[in-house]
Amino acid sequence: METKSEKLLAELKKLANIGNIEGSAVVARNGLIIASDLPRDVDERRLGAMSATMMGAVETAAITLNKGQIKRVTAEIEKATLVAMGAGKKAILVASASPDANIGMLMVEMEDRVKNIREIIGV
Amino acid sequence: MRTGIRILDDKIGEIPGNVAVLLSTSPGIDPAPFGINIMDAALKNNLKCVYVVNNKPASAVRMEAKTMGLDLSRYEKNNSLRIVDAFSGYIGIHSDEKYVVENPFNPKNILDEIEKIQKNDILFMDSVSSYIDMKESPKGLLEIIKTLKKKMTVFSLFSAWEYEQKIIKEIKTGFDAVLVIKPVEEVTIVRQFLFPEKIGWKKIEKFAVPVKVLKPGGVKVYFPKILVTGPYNAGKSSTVKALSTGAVSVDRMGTTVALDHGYMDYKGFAADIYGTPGQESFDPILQYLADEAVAVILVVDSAKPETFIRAKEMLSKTKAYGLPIVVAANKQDLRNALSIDAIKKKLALPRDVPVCPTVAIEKKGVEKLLDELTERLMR
Ligand SMILES: Nc1nc2c(ncn2[C@@H]2O[C@H](COP(=O)(O)OP(=O)(O)OP(=O)(O)O)[C@@H](O)[C@H]2O)c(=O)[nH]1
Ligand SMILES: [Mg+2]
Repeated sequence: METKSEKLLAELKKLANIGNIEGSAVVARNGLIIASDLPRDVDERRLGAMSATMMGAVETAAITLNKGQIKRVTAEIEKATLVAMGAGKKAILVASASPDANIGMLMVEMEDRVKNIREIIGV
Repeated sequence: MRTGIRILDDKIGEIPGNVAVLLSTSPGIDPAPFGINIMDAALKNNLKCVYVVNNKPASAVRMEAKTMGLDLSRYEKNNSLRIVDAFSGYIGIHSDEKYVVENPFNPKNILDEIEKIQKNDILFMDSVSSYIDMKESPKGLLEIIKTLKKKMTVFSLFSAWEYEQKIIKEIKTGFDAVLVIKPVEEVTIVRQFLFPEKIGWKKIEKFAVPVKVLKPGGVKVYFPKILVTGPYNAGKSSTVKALSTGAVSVDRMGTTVALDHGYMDYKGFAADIYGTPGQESFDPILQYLADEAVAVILVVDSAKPETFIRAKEMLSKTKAYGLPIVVAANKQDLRNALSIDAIKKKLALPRDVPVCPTVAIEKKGVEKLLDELTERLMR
């Protein structure tokens, strides 16, 4: 009997097998961590709060622009690429990859995971 | 003795000597950190403890304690803690430990090894599950516990894997108290709660304690989100800083443009603190920040009663009504700050909402604020 958190973690572990992904997490849109597979030295609770706020702010900007739904948020950081995408109504999937990652591949993988994550969470 | 876990201690009081307590966890939750934390509390109170471990090397117990930020070595040095290795004998390897049960399959052997150690106050058994796994019946173990509890308090750790109900029931009847730790699925996240299923020595009402093992930090009564909100410039970010160990504010040009985030650790309580911006243009993100908060701290500028309408608007925008609310009447150091009574009257919040004077930049009044808050979180 697998719990919801175990199933979500299994999805994140699949991402970890993709080259260049260094960590990922399923974060509630309110910032709380639902499941995470991040390097030990990363403060996951803080990353969760920040990613959710970032997503919320961009979503509000999108609404303000009147240009429809947001697909994902990508942040290009000196030593990482941070990607966040919606995973249903309640959650977002956040992943951090090395800067030389193939973004296209990364997106495809994340979108696959998002499908499963939505199913596991149920909305 | 006490467990060192707030709310639980407040409700069940002193644990009498000569009782056996079962600490039972759902699959996926390791009971060891709870046992180790309770033991640490006992050791700090100068009680002598024995920790019998049969499911991992003794060194793993020390390591676990270390990741929780607890140092057992000084207690081992002065002999107030003895870790008894009942694991090496089980898997048939050599042990360098000082206390070893050669044949853990024989309950008499375990008993003898423990009785060799003179003067003990508390015994921890980690774990009942491994014992059943090797013996199939808990009988022998329950016999030992019966004998041992005549001399000391016994805590047994148990991960309730999918055993037959009959066995679980049999185990539980062998204990004076049963504390159950299990996951509870909330709106989005899963929280762990401790439920006292049975307390033999005291009549108690049902209650649940939200717990989390922090590494480091140990077992805390844990709340995943406490919200700090209030009008522009009232001192929310300063309050989050004053309440937290390690806080960050996403501030630009002196105002919060995203959120404040900090960790509270106070008298056995821990929580993540989320602070909101105050300017109206940021109101759209309030819903994300406020969602699933368990309590709200409303910060107001005591010298600016004209902002109190906005303060109350923020309470409704963050859906705070219905949650425990405490008010920080901040900037009490300003010459034109209103008195607490005047603020109470002007704010006109429900009577049971406390209004505490604070000076956030000097961390003044923060303890009283946290006392009021934690008291409400205990209800
Ligand atoms: N005198 C005095 N000044 C304070 C106190 N608390 C905060 N301040 C000052 O008030 C100003 C605003 O403080 P912040 O903590 O940034 O307030 P805030 O509510 O987070 O502000 P926004 O995020 O912009 O809404 C700063 O200049 C603080 O130094 C206090 O207790 N006394
Ligand atoms: Mg601020």
